[in-house]
Amino acid sequence: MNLSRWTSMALIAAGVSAALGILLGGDIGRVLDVIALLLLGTLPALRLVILAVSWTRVRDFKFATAAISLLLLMMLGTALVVLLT
Amino acid sequence: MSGALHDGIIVALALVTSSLGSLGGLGGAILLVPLLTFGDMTITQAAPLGLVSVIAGSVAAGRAQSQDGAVNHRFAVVTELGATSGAVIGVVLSGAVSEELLTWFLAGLAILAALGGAIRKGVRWKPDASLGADSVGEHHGSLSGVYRLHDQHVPYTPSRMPLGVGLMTIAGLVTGLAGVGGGFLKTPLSSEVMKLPAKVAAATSTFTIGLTASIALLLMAIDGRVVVSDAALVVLGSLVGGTIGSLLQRRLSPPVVRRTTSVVLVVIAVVMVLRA
Repeated sequence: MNLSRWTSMALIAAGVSAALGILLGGDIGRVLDVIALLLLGTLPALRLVILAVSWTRVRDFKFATAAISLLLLMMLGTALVVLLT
Repeated sequence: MSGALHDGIIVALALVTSSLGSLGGLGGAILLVPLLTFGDMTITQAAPLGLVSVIAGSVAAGRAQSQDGAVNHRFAVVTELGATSGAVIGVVLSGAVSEELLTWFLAGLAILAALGGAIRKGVRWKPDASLGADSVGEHHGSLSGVYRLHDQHVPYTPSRMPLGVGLMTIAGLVTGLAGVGGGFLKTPLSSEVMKLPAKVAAATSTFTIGLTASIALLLMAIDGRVVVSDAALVVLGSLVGGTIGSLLQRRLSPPVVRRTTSVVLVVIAVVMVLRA
């Protein structure tokens, strides 16, 4: 499955979850709101992982390494900020 | 304010700011956050909603933009390595430089970027009639590519990458210090310094700001600052807004996208100065 297809599926799931969360309200609504946020919040990093995997598959190692380095840098930055602030 | 009116306003604001943000690759948060604070929200409550809007707008726009070959993911990853390194250093050093001085500096950069985009005439990259639909996309092992412009196909190759990545690192540092997203600097740097087509620069920036915003949102969630019920409203508005922005970008010509981006950059500069 390609990046566009993954993105579309996650988008629809997040949109439906957010809409149902708003309509239903209460505890169930809150859970659905959190699911929508989790889906969206993890999607950008997931897209980067998918890119790194697909570039590795087509033997474009230079850019696959760059994508993995960026992921590691983002994780390192997050850890640093959490520790220092 | 009644609950339904409050909800409707949040959805509408997210929709409009995400449309503008996705069109120019600037991210809508820098417009959405001050607008939300005109109501009954504090900046602390509004900031995570701004990030949610950037992520939702980025992902929604990314779908159509990827289909047109307008997002150059390889270029995004390379330049984002610089911008993220700068942002991490900036966040760690935040507080070392006067916030007001930084805001004025960023507003000045936004105006300069707006002028750069508005003054330039014509189109840098021309369609190539010999290229077919199968040529659309990024090239294996390089930063060049072909994007779809209406029913034509436009090849491009970015240049001055060392200078551009260096400037991206400085942009990341300054935005990290100031605690703002860097989309309004990334698009002009990609377009005017590294010579990416305006549409590709905007779409690629839209992709990278989603990455940065997701990390910032994670940090705010750890801090317990995300109000999920309001965030769900922003998700809805921004998903629609991001899609509208990407469809507008598909229909408009590159010079119109560039000038619209310049106008939004001026608005962003004014908003920043007002907030300072």
